[in-house]
Amino acid sequence: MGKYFLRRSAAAVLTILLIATITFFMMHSIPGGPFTRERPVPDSIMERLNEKYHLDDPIFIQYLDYMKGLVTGDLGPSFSIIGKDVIELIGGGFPTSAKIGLMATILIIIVGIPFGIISALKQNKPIDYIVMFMATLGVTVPSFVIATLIIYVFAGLLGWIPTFGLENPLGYIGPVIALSGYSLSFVTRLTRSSMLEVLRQDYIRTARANGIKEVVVMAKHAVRNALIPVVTYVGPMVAAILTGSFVIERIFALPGMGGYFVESITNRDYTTIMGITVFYAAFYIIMILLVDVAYAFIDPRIRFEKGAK
Amino acid sequence: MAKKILEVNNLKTSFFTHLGEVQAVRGSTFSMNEGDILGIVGESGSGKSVTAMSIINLIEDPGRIKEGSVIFDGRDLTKLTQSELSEIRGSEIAMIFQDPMTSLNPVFTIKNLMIEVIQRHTDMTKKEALAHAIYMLDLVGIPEPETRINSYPHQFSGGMRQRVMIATALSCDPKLLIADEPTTALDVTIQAQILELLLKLKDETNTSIIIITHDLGVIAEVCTDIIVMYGGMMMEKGTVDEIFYKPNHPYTNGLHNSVPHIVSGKRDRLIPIKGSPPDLMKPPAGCPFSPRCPHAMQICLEEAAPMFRLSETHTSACWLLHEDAPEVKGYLKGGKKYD
Amino acid sequence: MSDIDKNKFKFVTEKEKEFEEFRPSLTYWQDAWRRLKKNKMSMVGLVGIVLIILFAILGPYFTSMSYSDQINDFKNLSPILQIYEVGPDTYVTLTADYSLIRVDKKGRLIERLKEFELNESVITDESRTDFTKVLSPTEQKKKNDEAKKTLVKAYTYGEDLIYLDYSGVVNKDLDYKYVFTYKGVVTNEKYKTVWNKKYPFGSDNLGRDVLTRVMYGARISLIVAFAASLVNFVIGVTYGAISGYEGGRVDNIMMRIVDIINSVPLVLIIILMMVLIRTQNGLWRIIMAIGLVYWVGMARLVRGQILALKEQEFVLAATALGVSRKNIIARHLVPNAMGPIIISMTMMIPSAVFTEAFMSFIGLGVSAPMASWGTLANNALSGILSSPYQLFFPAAAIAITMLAFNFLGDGLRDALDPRLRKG
Repeated sequence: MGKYFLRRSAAAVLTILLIATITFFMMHSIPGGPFTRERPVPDSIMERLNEKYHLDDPIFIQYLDYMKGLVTGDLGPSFSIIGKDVIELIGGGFPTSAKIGLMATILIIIVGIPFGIISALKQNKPIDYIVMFMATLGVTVPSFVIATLIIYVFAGLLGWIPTFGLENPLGYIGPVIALSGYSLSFVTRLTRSSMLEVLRQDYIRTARANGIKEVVVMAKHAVRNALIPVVTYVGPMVAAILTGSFVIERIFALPGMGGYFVESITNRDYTTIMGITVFYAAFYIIMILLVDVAYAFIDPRIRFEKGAK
Repeated sequence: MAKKILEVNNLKTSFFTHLGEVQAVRGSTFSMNEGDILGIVGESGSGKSVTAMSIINLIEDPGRIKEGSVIFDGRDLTKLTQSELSEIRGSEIAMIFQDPMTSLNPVFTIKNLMIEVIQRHTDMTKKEALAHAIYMLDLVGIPEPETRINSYPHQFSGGMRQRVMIATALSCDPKLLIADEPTTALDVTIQAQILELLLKLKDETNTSIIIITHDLGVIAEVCTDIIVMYGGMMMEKGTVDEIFYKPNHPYTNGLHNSVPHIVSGKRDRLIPIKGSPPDLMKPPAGCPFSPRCPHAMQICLEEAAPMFRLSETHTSACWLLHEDAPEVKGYLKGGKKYD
Repeated sequence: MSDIDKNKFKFVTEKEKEFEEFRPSLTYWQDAWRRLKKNKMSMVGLVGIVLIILFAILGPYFTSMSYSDQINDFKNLSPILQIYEVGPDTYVTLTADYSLIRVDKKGRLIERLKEFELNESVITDESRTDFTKVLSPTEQKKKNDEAKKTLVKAYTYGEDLIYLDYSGVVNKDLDYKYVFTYKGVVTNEKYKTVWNKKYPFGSDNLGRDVLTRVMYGARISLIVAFAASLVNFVIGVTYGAISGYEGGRVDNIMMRIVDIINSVPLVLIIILMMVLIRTQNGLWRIIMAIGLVYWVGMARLVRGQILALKEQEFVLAATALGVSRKNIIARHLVPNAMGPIIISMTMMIPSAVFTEAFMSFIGLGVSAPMASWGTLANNALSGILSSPYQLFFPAAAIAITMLAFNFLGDGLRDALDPRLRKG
């Protein structure tokens, strides 16, 4: 078990480094360098900028500098926002994004899973159709459409929530719902189909044949197995929330990392783009790692295969 | 003295799918005495498994027991709610199934699974239940049960898992054990071991057993009485001697003929039964076997035969046994109708 | 025993027994199509897709404007017009940003009436007779207490002015929203509500027809989606087939690469690619970006299928007959894996539509003057409260397209592989 974890951690670290490297070299392969903007920059300023960002040094030195910086947490200064370091931007935006992301995740778990189970237990009854209909909508209607609908209806027409910003605690409702929409629906559908699959299994029949009470058969025997595939979705779910945050933060004008990322893209702020990309990638990889480990705990079949070497 | 423990009357079970009603069991009637080992034999689709599952009403949507009664211990099981039945299942009537590889919940240890069942039906403490579970595992022949009980199902072989299932099923001392194709998924050698185990357990605990199978060899090995089913209906019922040595139904005869005999010395041809089983969504009006029966008569196509009584223990549903039927070698005519 | 006709006890011949009817056997595809047809939702999806494609291809021929025609005077017009009859044969309608448009009785647009700067000296008795306080809109802004103010605008029409009292918009106590006064006649009731015939979906902030732009947007979005899916198909199937067929080390390495690509959220990679690759043609850029990233899913799927299929005997037979490796993959293995591949492709298309819209939304999609649904939605975002229809139609188009493909995809999944049924 320990060996498995170590192996996966090593792989994760290597992947992060690899991604940082690829990102670095991709950035520097742009013809004309990142300073090629619409308006020409005066030569003297160019020189100073070159000095500051070490662009005079050969590329491998730049690379080593960059790698060193990564490890120590220094991602360099922002290209377009003078005076601010990339790491400052991340530090400023991350808590907001994290808060919303966390709330979305909690919402997904406490709403998605129970509804999926209920839907499975009452298959083909009205509640099943309703839940599945909403879930299908949630999966197919893009998050920014949901977000704009929420703004228009609940903020614009009804005035129940503020149109943007987080000063008002009610301002969390819109972004959290819009952000979780897709994953919530996906989890509901996944839980439902997983539960249905499990209920068809022989071991459920065995439990009933042994006289176990139906409630216990459902809650203990069925749910435990049904949740295994759902756990594997956590990885993609994190990705969906991450990428969803770009759009949601922009629409609701929230001061989160996603918003900064989109801004940095619009401004072609290359260090920030790079820094945030590597950060996102690292975050995602670590989440996947945790999920893999958790998965091994939950499903004993995996545990014994991987551990006993 | 023979005490009747189970009485099934005119059991009819169907599955109401959106394509139509699949009549899996179309009127089974039989009874069983304490200590009997009753074998229900038939091909796939004959209704034998569904009959067994109907006894403890494990029939799920879209299936349902349509008609009939199952009297056990003075109660009609078909009239009980699932909640009431869950008290009986596992404690008075236990059932084991065909595929041991998938019949045990993979995320729980054997200990967890067995203790759950034991504590469900008895007042034992966890410690007592554990001790009892280990005792049962030992009884069914699991080596080192104290340590192996902490394992997960996937760490056992098929034969071992089947033993675990049997141990769990018998842990609360049921009066009746229903075994649905307990050896079909296992190797022949393991098969023999499991059958031997069942016999041994029966001797020790005097549990009555119903064995469902399509294998005549298994039947011959362990059963005291036999029911032959086809097309959802009972064709013949009798003691093992009667069914094997004095069969009185064309289907039973067909089954015997299609089993290879090593003993005969000569190289005989296998005689399979021509044709294939009936469509249970549109079952034929008469005897289900009539399309494939070499002795089919007009009446066979129109009406299903009632059970004719050949002896106190032997009945057969075949029009050849009617007094008006022509003489055919091997069939005792003039048998009285079974009421 | 009841009496039974003794004649019934005669043996019957083989012929007299009924035999089973044999159902004609269908090929895999016929069977799948039959199952698909039965699934109402997927048929709805299929019809929807056909309609959307027709909408995209043929639509622009039927609209009065092209997608780039701008009529600045008619900007930000809603698809539904409230017409007021301010005078004999004089009809007007108001836009979201308080432009006054003169229309005819049927609601056809005629011209925009220029706004007239109001100050105290122009107010005459012909304007509302019970004016107490009149402030021009600029003065309005300086004061905070809006509740008791009367808000007025004026527009030139010929020799006269049309006055608009719109206090009712802000002051909810008043029981009118808009009051027009022209040549002494006061109108506060709608004459009619009509569909905007020139701009069936309304106009955007440059006076362009939203309907036509949505149709063009359909073309762009669909082209990107289909093309990207095609790229995805070609790369993914080839990669996956080779990996699955070769097995062993080759497979290991190839799958390792796929794993590495998969270990980052794919959207990030697309963003990076869009930011860093600066070819001129925005359309090709996004097609390649999406296709070059999502193939990993297809590759994995195909590899799995091939792995399972190659153990089957028909492959052994083909190899024994000397069929070349390329042909075994191309003509024997891949066609048999088409079921899941088709399903994957069908689900790939809405993903691509979404991704393209997403990219456009954050400013990275196709570049102007091309406009996809995503760009339209992006542009409309700022006006969401005043002109919601500008966002609604492209967003609805995206949602409907994705829904249609999803329904079809679900149905295909059921039809082509019953084991995968949703339950």
